[in-house]
Amino acid sequence: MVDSVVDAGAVGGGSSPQGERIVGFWGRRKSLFGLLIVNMLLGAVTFGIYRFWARTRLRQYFWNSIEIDGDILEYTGRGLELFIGFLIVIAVLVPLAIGYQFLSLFLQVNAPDLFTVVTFLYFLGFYWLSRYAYFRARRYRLARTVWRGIRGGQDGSAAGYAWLSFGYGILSLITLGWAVPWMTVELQKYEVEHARFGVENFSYEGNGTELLRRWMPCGVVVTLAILSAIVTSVVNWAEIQAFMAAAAQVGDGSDEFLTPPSSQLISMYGVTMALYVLAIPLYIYYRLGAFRYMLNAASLADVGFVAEFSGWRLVGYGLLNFLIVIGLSALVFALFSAFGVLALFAEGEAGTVDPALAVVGIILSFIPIILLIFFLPMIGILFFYYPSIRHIATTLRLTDITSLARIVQSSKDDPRFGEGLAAALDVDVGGF
Amino acid sequence: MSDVAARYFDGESARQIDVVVQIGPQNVVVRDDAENVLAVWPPDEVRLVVKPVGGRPLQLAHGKGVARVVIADTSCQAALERLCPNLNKLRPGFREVWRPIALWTSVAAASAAFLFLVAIPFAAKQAAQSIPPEIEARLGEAAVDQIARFFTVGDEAVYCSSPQGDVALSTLSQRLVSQVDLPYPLTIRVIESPIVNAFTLPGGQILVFSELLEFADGPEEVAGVLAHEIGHAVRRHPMEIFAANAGSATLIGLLLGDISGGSVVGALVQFTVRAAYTRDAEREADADAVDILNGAGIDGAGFVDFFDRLLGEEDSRLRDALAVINTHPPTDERSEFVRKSITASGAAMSDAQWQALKNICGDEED
Repeated sequence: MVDSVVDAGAVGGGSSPQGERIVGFWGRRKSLFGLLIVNMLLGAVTFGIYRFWARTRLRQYFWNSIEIDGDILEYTGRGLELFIGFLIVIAVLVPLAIGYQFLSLFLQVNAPDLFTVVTFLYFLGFYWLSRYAYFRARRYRLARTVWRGIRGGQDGSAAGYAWLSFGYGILSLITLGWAVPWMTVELQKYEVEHARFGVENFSYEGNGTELLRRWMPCGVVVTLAILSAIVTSVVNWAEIQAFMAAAAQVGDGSDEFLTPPSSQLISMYGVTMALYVLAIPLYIYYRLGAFRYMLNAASLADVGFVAEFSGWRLVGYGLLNFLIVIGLSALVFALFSAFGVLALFAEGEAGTVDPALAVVGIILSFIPIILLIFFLPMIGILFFYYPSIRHIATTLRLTDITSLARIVQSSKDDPRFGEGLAAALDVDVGGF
Repeated sequence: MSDVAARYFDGESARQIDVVVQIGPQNVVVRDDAENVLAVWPPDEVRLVVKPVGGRPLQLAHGKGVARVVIADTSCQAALERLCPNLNKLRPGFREVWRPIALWTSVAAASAAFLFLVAIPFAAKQAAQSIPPEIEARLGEAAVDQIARFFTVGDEAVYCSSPQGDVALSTLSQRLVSQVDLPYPLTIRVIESPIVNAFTLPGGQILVFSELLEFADGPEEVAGVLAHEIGHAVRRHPMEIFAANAGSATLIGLLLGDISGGSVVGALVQFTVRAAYTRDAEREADADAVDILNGAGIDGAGFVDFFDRLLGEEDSRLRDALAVINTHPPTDERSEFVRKSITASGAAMSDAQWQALKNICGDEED
């Protein structure tokens, strides 16, 4: 309650050319936790079939928590729609997937070279499909978002978006990552310019060159990492080849031991790995900048957006979430080990193992693990998504909101069923 | 009745209109400042869009429409609840979605049925034949180790063994195995258990439960059972079942949204043990068993007797009724097939050897 009051207090913080903070957030972690518990229990008793309704309720919760200029966002989607979308995908996609499994097994035995090619194509196809699914999911979500009685929408073609994403993905690979800022901007442009509220499309003013500086740290490290990997392979080529040959022999069942890699190979490999690890926080830094860039570049009618969230704060939420997950996992592992040891040393009469005690110990040792499996998915929502959404929403400034009054309802058809592919491929954002 | 100030969004544009809402006995009437009637909503079609919490404005809608009335003064909630019976039904009726549900549920069910009954068994058969025998042998060793753990008590040996019993078993095994071409060497072992059973795991791992030796009337019956199990091994049926179960488990995991699949792997070994072969597989194994017994010169009548006695207690009419869904072919049909095909009439082993085999687990009193 306390945090929502504080955030709601930020509403209407005075007019300025920088826009006004007129987005409020009314969620409460306690009621969200209650919702998550109910969802988890229903999911458990329905063997997971409830997850479509659970996701719908979770979205309703977050949408309804966000209030723009005094009016909440509504989520009008339904669990049933998600479920039907999923059934459609199961009916169509699963036979294809099994067919691929069968084909790959056949090729592995009969044509190993062709198998490599087919596997490569399969993963490319999977990437394309996941981008396609992502865009379809956007369309569904925006069409089910209502504010002041006006529906949102996402025009554009999911296949077109997937091809755009695919092409820029390959370009980014070829340029060792230096096309990434342009890829980001082009995809944002496609997403935003085809999104609409009523009949009014959003606009997007952006340029990849402006994101280049933000990409620079990550780009340099990624380039260095790739160069380092190449140099490591070239310099130590003879040793790597010998190692591979020896490894293949060991696989044949002969007793030959592998010679340990030289210290030169280890240190060069270590440098390469260190560069990749260093790229991770820099990539997060880039993604945060890109997200802020998108909000600032977008506009609707005369409404402009000014993002004022603190990237450090979001990183802090991420770290906190990470620490909670690690801490809980460690605790569960400790309990598991403790009960496991108890089971092992459960002595009965005359120094023999008492089977009843051992069974009790084993059961007790698994209870914390099962609890962890059920509770782990909630942690990210409670401790990362919830505070992050609250922070991003309540710090967002909007200019000239009154211009929205002239926007009228669109007569375009809604997507009839849920996000199907996205639900099956699990490309949703943070599980909701 | 009562008039309340509110904001109105007509669902046509995002423009906000200041209105007065009259919650009357007949209708909910929305009027603007100039007293124009903007909307008249029958009370039973008025609903709340969001469950009102913590003094936040009431959001009213008319059926499935997108027009909204937003009332900041929440004190009228009680009056609304009295008037509008469906106020808290957050969702309008969903009759119109039944058709697509019915359609796609049946398509998905048909798709799943096709996958489980046709595609997976077919793919499993192909997979079982394509897997190199060495890999299957390794898989079988791992599986038999898993199962052996269930029978371990303390540090006691799991498999039964005695010098003469081992000789008897291996002599009989070699006689039977010499009749067939096997993709991998067989491992036949006796395991102590109070259940009458024998089964074959991938990689030619055959386990005979000690109680089966007790239950058998003579060595020819045991020879018949072994020949039947060898038939399964020759045709790589256990591997087929293993592959089919792996496919089914993956598919179920996908349907239920469990992508981790960790639990699936653990259950597989047990599944393989409990899995029933198809009726075709049983017929194939029977035919192989008859060929093996005939080739080895062992009387197959005992084989028939064994199955007859094993299933003897079952009510025969019930058994016939169940035959359609049961994976084993009807016993009568099996007996008849085996009886017709027997040509040999020799003994499986000497009486002394038979006694040694029965006592292989050591603690026999008789």
